[in-house]
Amino acid sequence: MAKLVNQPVLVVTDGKRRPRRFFWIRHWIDVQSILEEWKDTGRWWDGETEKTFYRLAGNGGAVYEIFSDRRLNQWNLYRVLD
Amino acid sequence: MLAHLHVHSPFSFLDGASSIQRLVARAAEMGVEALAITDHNNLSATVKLHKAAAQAGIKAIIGAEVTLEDGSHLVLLARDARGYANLCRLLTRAHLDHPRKEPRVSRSSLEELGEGLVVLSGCRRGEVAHLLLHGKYQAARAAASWYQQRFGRDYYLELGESYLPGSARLARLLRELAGQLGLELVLTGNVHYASGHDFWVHDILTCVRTLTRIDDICPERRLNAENYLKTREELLLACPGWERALEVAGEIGKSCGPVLDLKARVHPEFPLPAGENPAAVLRQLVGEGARRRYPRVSKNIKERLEHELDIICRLGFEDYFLLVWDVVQFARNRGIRHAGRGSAADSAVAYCLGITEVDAIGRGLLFERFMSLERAQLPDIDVDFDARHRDLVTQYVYGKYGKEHVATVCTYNTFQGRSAVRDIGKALGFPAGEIDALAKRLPWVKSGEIRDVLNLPELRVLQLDQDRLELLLDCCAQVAGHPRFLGTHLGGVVITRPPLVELTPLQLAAKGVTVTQFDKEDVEDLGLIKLDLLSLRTLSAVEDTVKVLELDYDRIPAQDRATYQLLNSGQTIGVFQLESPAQRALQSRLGADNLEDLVASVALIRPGPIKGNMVEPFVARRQGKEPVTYADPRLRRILAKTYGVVLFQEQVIEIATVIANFSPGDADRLRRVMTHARSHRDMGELGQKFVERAIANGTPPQVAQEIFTYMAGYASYGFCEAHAASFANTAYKTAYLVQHHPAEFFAAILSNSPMGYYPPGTIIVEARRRGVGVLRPSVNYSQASCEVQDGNIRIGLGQLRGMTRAGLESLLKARQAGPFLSLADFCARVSLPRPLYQSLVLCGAADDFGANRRKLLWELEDILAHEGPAGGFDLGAPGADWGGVEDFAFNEKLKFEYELLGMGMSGHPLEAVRDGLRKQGVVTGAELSGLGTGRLVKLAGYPVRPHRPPTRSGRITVFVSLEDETGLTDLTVFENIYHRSGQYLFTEPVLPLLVEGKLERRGQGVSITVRKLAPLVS
Repeated sequence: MAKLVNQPVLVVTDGKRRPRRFFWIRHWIDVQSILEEWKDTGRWWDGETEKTFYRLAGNGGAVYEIFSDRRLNQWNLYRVLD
Repeated sequence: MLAHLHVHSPFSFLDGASSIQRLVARAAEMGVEALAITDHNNLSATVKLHKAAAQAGIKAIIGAEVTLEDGSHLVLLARDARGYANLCRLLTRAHLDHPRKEPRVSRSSLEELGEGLVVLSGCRRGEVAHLLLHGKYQAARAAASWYQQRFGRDYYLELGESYLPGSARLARLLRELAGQLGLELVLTGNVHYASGHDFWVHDILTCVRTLTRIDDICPERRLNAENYLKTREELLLACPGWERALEVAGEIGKSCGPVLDLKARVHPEFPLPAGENPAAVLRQLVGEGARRRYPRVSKNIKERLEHELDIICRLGFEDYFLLVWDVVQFARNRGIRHAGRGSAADSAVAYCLGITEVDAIGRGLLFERFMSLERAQLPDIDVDFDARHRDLVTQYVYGKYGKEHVATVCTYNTFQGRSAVRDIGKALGFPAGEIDALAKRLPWVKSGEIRDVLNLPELRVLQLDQDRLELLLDCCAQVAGHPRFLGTHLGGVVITRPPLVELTPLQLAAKGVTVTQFDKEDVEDLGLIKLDLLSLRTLSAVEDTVKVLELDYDRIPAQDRATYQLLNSGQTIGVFQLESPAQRALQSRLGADNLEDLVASVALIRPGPIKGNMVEPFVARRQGKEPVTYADPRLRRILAKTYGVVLFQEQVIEIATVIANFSPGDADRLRRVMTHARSHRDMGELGQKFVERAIANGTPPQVAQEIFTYMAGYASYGFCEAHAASFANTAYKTAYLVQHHPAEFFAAILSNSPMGYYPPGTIIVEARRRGVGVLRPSVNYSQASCEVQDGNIRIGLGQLRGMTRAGLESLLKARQAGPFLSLADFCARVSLPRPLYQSLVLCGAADDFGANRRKLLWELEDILAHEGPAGGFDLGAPGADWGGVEDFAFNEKLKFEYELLGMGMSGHPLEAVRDGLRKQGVVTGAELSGLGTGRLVKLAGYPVRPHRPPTRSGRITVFVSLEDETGLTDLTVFENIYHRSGQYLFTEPVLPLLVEGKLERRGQGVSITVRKLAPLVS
């Protein structure tokens, strides 16, 4: 079951700017592994910028999708997959 | 070696966003050593890639991403010449054995024609990757094994990271599969554009390809901008630990050798009886031709012919000349009118063989403009044929040399202004009406200047979404010149000695014609012989005219005074090549009195000479108003016929020969380089060489420099004299027909429309102006074509829009039993669809049964009542009794006539408002001749073919003809007026205009310089 969140989150990254842990609902969630990584240009014609998505396994067993918008220097938690 | 083995160019048709030149340039910047172009199911990029890569010092690899029968993709690379030939055969089968636009390569063909090919498993749409991504590992393994068994070590699993969901899993599975089967992995980029910045262009093109709009979601659209040409570092950053796969790409790149042998002799052989030698046969035919062409074959003529034959035979083109001679003979024997054109008319051999009608020796034309040992290029012979029978000639060529050896040359239909606006505008979500208005008003501009059109008045008034419009124009600029689809060349046929399918893939074009995947330039670069069998409707009109008149076209008097009077009047509508407003203006002040003037005229009205301001000095010298001077007395002989002006390419060659002692072949090379020299440095180097040789040949240094400056100024404008002479010949003869047989010739023009510069509506206005009556079409009196009846033109039933061949035949056959007595009788004897009956009534063809067309329509409904509900035309409410219904008004009738016939039968729209116009002081075009120069006048009419030719100053000047019921008046609209009112000139539908301006006279011509322009409100 997937839950759409799409809210800004605080993220700690590694040297390659990939997520190591992120803060959500008053908890830090550690990234156990990155399952997938992809990029999405979105609606470029409306001024959207490219986002890098990560599907990752968190320490609680859930799978999360978070994305970074490097131009805006912002991270968002996009979805939670139970 | 860094090699990119999976790259799409614009020849992937809407799936490649960067030009080949840009891809190669970017690859060179990045240190790529081998670059493969792998377009979808075609090799069209081959020649261009070869040339660009050679210039950049990169190895070109030829390949294709083919579609298999299950729809999956596979990348094939030609390792050697055998591989290239097999790839051509594979692609040909893929196209010709499957429905058009759905090429498919079969596994059996792959097994049969796999030699010399390197096979990569393909992108995510490749069979193996697709199965892996869908969790079908065993099926993927079986598929990979199949290829491994057939191709062994030439089969590779392809890996490319494009940052898509599932990429990590796919990479892991491919590595596992490769390990299990002992296959090598190869790293590719699946490149669709040179740089990530070009992604947006590719995204829009994908929308065009998939017929979606940019706001739509479509699985074909790429998720991100990662399909660009990546550096070694970028590739490895995306695929850490895959160094070996990158090395493999380099090894494949190294192993691929040259696949094209551009020096191979693939020219066709002309079939001759055993023991006959083509050179001897050619000599014999030329000798016979010379005796036919010349009353006395002088020593001079013999030497010239011998000189040409020597070059032709030394270059090995005797078969080619025999081949063309044979084709022309076929046309002649079948009575198909034809005329050679182009630089072939520089050849006396071509003249003697009957290929051209220009006496190259008599005119002093240089053979070296056509062929030379130094240039050693393939000769290019173009022949025009009566448009109706050209296909018969082409069929003859196919029949003689066999389908294995003959194909029509393709054209790359490219994105240009209007077509690009339509395609891209739709993808960007512009409403259909806005796109249509924008496309129709868009002028021709260079791609780099396309944003400038935003300021044009006719576009400003549309008030489009500015941001989207800018995006649209930017995209149009990016894709300008990119191929959109493969089409059929108008007449280029390629003939080869080896089977053609080993030199080029073949495919079907829209009309079911088999075409090459290379266009005419690529075909020439490949060293293939091309023959241009062109169709020219003017020849059809000439044929119709001379047939009716039983006139011997070849015996039209050469110096007919009345014909030159016509030309001098500038009233040359209908005359081949001399009817445009610019030509009419030239003719009205040139005072032409011999064919040389017409040859010069054809060459003068071209963008180059106009922009270079050559026309006025030429006319002034021709009329003795300016002195004719020569920098060196030796130039007199060369330039006398053009009054000291360098107008023809042949003159540039001759000057270099006489003044600087170049050989004719070297002189032609100089001319070609001068024509294409783009930088001051290149021109400077050429000048130095010319001047040095001229001085060595006894020319004073200052004079040598002056002559070179003069040549350089005109070299890029110069026109081929032989070509101009060929056209001038036809121009003069059609002028003769207009002058002496206007009814017959205008009828023929109408029957063969569209042809020439003007629409049929303008042609009949001109016919009437010349006193020739124009009779409406008639179901009882018209034939299929327009014809002359009692001195008047009777419009043919074939002119009717929507008329079918079957309908026409059944009508004419039924009429053989006697005239139709009534509409009921007509409908009973001729079975047509209801809309066609209605069209016949509305265009006036049924006026034989009563002049009230609305009443006839009601009668028709009664006659057809048994056929069920009426369709097609809205009759309106008849009232109680349709017998008393009123006819259409004059303007309504005209509207239908223009819609259905493209011309007004009942008169001209201006006639209806003429009385009112007179009260406003508006005069007719015909009345202008009686008014004084400089007078301010008012005119009304419809704008015909407004255009903005390039001008020397760069300012916009619009030239347009204004049509009223008395003929055409030429208008000049300068930039200030254009910016104020230009939107009324470039509209669709065309609006009648009220014009105020100053009457100008130049020579016998009258024109108006416009001061005010507005729609005519009646």
